[in-house]
Amino acid sequence: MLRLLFFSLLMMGGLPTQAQAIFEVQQAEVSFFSNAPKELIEAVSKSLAGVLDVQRKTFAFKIGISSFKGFNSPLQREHFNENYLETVFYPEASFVGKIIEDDDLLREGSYTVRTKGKLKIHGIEQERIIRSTIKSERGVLHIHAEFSVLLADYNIKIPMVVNNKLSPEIKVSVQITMVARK
Amino acid sequence: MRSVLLIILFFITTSVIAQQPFIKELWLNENAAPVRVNDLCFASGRFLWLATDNGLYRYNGRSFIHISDTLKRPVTCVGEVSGSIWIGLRDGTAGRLRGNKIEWLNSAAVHPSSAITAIRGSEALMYLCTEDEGVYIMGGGISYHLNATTGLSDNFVYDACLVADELLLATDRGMNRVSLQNGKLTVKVMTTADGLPDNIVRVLRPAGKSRAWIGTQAGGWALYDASKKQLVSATQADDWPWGQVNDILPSDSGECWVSTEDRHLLHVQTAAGPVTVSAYDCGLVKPGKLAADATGNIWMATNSGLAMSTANYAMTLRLPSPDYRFRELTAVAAAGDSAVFLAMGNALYQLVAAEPYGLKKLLQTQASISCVTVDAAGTIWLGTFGEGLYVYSQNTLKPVHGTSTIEGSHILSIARAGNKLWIASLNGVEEMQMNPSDLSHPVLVRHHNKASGIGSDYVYQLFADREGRVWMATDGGGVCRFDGKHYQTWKNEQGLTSDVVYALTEDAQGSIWAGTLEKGVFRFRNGSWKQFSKTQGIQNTNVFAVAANATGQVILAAEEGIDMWYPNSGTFRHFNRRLGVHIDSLLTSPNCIARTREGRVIVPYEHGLIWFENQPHTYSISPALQIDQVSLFNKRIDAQRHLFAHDENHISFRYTSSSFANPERLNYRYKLDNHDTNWTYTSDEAVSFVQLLPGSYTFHVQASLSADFSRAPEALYRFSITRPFWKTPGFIVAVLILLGGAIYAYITLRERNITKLALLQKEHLIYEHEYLKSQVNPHFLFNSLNTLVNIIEENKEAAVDYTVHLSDLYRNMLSFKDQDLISLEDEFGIIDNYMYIQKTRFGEAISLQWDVPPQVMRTARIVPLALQMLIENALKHNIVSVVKPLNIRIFADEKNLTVTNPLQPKASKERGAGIGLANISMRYRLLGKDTVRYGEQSGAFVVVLPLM
Repeated sequence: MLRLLFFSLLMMGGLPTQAQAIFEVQQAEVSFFSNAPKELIEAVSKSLAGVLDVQRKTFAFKIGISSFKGFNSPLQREHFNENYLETVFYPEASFVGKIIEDDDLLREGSYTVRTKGKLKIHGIEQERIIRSTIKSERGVLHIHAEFSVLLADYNIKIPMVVNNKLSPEIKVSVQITMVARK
Repeated sequence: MRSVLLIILFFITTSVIAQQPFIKELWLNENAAPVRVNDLCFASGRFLWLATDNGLYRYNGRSFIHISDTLKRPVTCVGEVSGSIWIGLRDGTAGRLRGNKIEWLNSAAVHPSSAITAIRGSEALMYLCTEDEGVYIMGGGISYHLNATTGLSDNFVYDACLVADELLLATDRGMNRVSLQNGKLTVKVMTTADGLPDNIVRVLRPAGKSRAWIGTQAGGWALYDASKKQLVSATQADDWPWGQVNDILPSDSGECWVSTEDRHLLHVQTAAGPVTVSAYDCGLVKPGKLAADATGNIWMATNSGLAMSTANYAMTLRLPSPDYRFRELTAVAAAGDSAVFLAMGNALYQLVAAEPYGLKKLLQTQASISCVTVDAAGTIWLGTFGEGLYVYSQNTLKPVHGTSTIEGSHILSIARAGNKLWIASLNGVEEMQMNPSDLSHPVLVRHHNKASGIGSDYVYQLFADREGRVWMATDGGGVCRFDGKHYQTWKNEQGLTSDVVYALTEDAQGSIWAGTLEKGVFRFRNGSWKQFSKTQGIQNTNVFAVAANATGQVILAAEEGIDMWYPNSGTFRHFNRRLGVHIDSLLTSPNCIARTREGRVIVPYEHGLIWFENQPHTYSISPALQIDQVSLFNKRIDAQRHLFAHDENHISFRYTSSSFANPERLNYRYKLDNHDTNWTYTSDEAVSFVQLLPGSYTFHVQASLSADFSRAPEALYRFSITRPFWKTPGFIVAVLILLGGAIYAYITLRERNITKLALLQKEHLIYEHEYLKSQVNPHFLFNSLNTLVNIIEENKEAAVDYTVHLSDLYRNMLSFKDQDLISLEDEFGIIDNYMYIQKTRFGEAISLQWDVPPQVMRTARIVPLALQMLIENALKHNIVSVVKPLNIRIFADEKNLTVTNPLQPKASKERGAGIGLANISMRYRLLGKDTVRYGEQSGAFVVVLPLM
């Protein structure tokens, strides 16, 4: 499903008449926070890839889980990849869907839109509606979104010993800059 | 980034002390892997059906049964449509449950390929909502497909709801109103422009006949009236802090529960005046779809399974230690919901939600506080251990003076009734008149004690009923009621069998309840007490505290747990550690219970307070029961079958009941009428009956939450086992008739044979006699001997020959006479000898001609000596002379032998005429053969003998 959409979006990108409708990620920062009573964990990744079709209002984003850096220790990062997110089996997280609101994103301005799609983490897909703000400025889209991920929703198990160190609810913040494909 | 972090921190640290329902999480499968529940529904109040990522499950309060047809197929929705359970799958398939199998929908017109989001229905129609193909409307054999190209605002339809004449559809682009106008379906869209708080409508639920609840993604809820075609109530989009609405559960007119993505359960009430929304935190449980069972539980689908909430009838207020010192708690008192007081040690605390730990210290006394009462005016009366009574009013605490018996005494109980103050101490009870100008100096009216007639000096509780009478729970004296003039005491009489009574209360119907030591609880109604003990289902017979809410439920607190009496079901609901919501320890000091002015009952426990709500809806906590499966020789059969053959005599039943109140206490009893005389009590859910004899049976099974089955629901199954055909009366009669007939036939046959045999023997005797007579016939012998004399003289050799023939004749006659039949050949041997003798005598006067085919001669048989007798007869009766020679002719065909001689009768008839012929005929008849025919025929005498 994801590949198909990606592929179709990329193909559409190849058509010159539609070129300015397809935006792709120029720069992005995805960070998450786990705020547990005993420990605060924060990690950031800049390797978000994705495309957005402003005419059809569809999008697809993905990110490599192992690209997250930060954490409080290298061992913690190792645990994150090996024990919790099982990066070997589920290397990527993705969000594929459509924008519900009808705003014309090519017109300059700031828009609050809701994006509805399948958020896939740890191999589990959930239908989510995520509120985002999109600022359209001189042909560049600045997108900002914040949402939370319940570990239980994505079948990510926390061992009892780290109960106080890992929050069951992870806050995610996304900042993306997108430009029209040339 | 930092600011985001700070906001998050702020939200997490301010843990507000608030009431919340008890929430129990359940895992669907045994290996404790989470299974996401997408939807759930209560079918006909019996079972909870769960649509999960791993298929469809049935839950009865104790165990989850997986419907194997749906194994590993994600079921996205489940609904009850005209009595059937329908499911929709992620792959677009839909089906209906039949028994324990799924009957898949196989329709050429309805074959969605995207996930089904909801199945709803009215009596005639069913609506299949899909993720990408709009909605399919089915009914009466036809179907209609509505999607974006046929007028919907979007293809993703979350939900559908039929109200009045409109079908409402929930989409991302507003609510679609579909109606039939002039025979055509028209779609109108309602959006934020029409007052909808948000365009993304996710939930639609009927609210009465013409209204529908609308749940939106970001703007909260709205209430739509289909008769007015407009919204009648709605939240403000920018004033909705609870997140996406996941589901709405209508509970009463204008009332509903709402589950939200931000993990809250909201109680929305619009009926009475302004709209109120009470929000309850669900902790880590994110409630999805909602369903309500008959007992008042609210069930929530979650991403990891199922969760149960007690929001309809019980709340908890968790108080964190160390401020809440449960073991030091001695008294609880409440005026309104916001005025709740706890006495711990020698300090009195008030519940204040804004305080960091929920409790505010109000005052402190010299000694430990033993009891607290708040009266209607808000005045707090405190009793202490050894320091007498205090009154707290207008923020000042004063010791109460006025009578020496309470000053410096242990106070056991305080009651306020009218303008009276009642105090129980170790010296009995003081009845005092309030002094409005100085609350700390009431005036003693009367002193009540054992001597005055209350039965005991120790009164654990004073209780003023609604008629102003004062009831006293005494230690050793039972219950005493004082109506202002007279005492009425009950001690081991009128049903009250306990003399130690801890607690008293009056329920909503006006009955008095008394909690006792080791005897359970007693209810006083219409002049007599009725006991409720273990048999009636209470957990512990030491009842320390009783209180009643405003809707008829009575709460009993004991060490083992809390029992709540449901007057409609006539049973107790239990709250204990087995409920799985951490009610694990309760107070053992008497009367540590409180009732608010509104009727809510507060019971302290290890982690805080439990609030038992009033229950304006009538819940039934009786279990529901059904026979699941009938088996014959352990193979499931159609439960509609009720008739079995004689050898189909091994019948098994599998029954199940659901209880969502106290499933752990479910027990059964069953009885097979015509087989068992007594009920069998069991906790098994299956029973087999083997080697059943033919007959009619009725299998009864009942389920109860206690040992008392008097109001237990019953399921039954009637069946008959037929008799084997050889035991049916018809068959037995037929057999008897046949047997009788056979015996009769045998007897008659035998009789006939015997008679025949006797006759034969008789004939034989006659014949033998005749024969012997003929042997010694003097004429024959005389004639023969005369002939011999003549021959001897003429021809010696011929004489010898003659003698040889004569002796041959006699030998043959002797040897054949005993036989029934002899061959014709042998008979002719006799004739040969006989004729030789007669020829010798008569010479040419006699001749014998015979013509018998050689084959007949060999094979045919004849009665012995018949021919000889016939020839002898011929000689006897006819003239034999040379002038008139007697010519005897014998000829035979296959069947008959005919003997003829010319009829030339002698003048004198010989004696015994006819005996010979009669004898022959008789012998033939006895042998069962054709009769011998004889008579005159054209001048000849003809005898026809049948050949055998």
